Amino acid sequence: MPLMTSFRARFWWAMLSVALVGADWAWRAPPPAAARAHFPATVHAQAADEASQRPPSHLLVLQAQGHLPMPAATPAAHASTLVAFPPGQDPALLAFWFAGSGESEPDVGIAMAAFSRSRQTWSDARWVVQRERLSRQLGFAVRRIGNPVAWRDGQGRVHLFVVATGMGGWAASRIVQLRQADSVAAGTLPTEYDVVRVLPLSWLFNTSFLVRAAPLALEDGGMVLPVYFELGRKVPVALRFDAQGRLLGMVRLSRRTHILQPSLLALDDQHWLALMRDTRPQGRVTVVETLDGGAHWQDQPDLPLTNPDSSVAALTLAPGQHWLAHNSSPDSRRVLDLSRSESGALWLLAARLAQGAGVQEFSYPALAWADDSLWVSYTDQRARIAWQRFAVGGVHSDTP
Amino acid sequence: MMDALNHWVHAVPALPAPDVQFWGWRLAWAVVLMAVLLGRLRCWPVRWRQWLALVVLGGVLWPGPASPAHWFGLAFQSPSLFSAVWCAAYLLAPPRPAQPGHAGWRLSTHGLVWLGVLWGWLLLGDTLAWWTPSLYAWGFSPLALLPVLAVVWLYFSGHERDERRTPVLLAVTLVLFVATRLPSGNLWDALLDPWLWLALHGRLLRDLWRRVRRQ
Repeated sequence: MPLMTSFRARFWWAMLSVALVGADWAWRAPPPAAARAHFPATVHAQAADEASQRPPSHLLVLQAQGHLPMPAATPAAHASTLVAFPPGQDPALLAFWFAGSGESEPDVGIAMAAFSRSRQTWSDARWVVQRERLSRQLGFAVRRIGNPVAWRDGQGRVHLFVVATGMGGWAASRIVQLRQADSVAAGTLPTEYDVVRVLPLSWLFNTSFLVRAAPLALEDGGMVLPVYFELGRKVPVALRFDAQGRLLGMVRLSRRTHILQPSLLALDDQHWLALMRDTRPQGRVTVVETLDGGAHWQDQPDLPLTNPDSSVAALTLAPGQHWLAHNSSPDSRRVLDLSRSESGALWLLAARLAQGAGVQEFSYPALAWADDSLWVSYTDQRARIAWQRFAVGGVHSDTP
Repeated sequence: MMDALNHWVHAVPALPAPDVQFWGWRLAWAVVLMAVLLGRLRCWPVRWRQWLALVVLGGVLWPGPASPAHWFGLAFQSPSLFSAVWCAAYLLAPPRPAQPGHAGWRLSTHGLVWLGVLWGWLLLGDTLAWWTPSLYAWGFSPLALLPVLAVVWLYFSGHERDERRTPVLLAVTLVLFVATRLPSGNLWDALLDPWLWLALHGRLLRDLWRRVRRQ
């Protein structure tokens, strides 16, 4: 006899359904307001440049350069990321990268160095994430780690998003979110990180999502983190987080399946671009656009910038002040350029960051704005992380 | 009104608490492994099977690389909540000898098997970006519960008492999911994992083969 033929059974099932949906709804925070980009700097008049003896508008002046200190006995380094601290705090900047005996080796960990505002030097490198501890906290094994991306949340805590591979290579990766440990005292370097969670992004064993480029900061203290899927087809995705670092949602950026490693630019508070690596032969820097703060994205024509299947880093300092670090030779990563744009469409070479010969490689750039300077870091031949600091005419920090 | 609608449609994902997830995944693997092993060793004496279950439970819950969950998590993360519930039911109610007209402890409802297979293909296609709408992201919304509740309702309404097991287990899964958010906070992960999806293919093929042979 069917179970639901009686009125009473139907009534109780209806009640259970309402209770389930109601309880599920009650678990959740209210939906966030529309995302609006936060700009780290403002453009000021040329007269102010002259008065303050800054370089003229859009002129880039190299102030300092070098290599980040490496942890002892680590001949390989790759995929650096930078995160800036507000004025009044020390350090000015943290750099994270992965290092070890070689890429994809089991001893690879995430290293960190801090640029001291008071001493104007980089600290020694120290390990902040290592595979065994990550695995213990997650409760399951991790084969390899890499590609750190750092972000400061609304409370000033540093979050790290790290790629952790499952059964297979990079294409079997998951993204793990970590946050500086509660035991880190205020005013000290965040050198310890605890796992928040592995981000749930795919039904297929939650596999093949990676992170590479820095997030786009939002006015509400949250951010949009660009990530990508890369098992066979390459698909860019954006994740939104609130000011505490809680996942608010995910949206696919493109219908194309050959583009990855998106890096976000804000043309205005809700009009953004994602510039991406192109895996096709004779690739170009590819573009998608949103007009509503990341809710919907449309594919756009490729930029006229060549892309040899290589990661790019984009940064908006202020509306009309966009920067892009990218490999510009068609078939190799031996030339790394820094270009600027007012519109996001037309890009002009501002500086050649590195140029090598033969199989030399300068790649995986990262950009940040700190202390009225544009900072660039990049991989130098997969062995070290190089950095450069530029003064930029026409811009100054948004915070006093 | 629009705010309420917005709340439903663009609901913020509710994810499991880290500790709940850590232990929930281990417990789910323990239950699945116990069901698989004990299902294979039905000829063993009951006392031996009870000891084996204890050993498996202790071994899987044990932290670190000694636990099978440590390695299963590496490759497969977690079984779905439905797989774990189904295996727990299998363990709690020993299988009865099959009788004519009695399906035993099996996924007896062909419609649900078809639905699971189809839904798995849709989720796989979504993962591989074969189409634009992101089905997986919808699994974070409370609205995703509605079609599943409707399906369970239909099966409760239209099937005999003998075939109520799968809908009952689905209802239990939904209650546990809402309470714990396991395994990932996404409803589709709670209902169907890729291994279960493959098992449903096997079941479907077996049924089709039997039907062909009968004809």
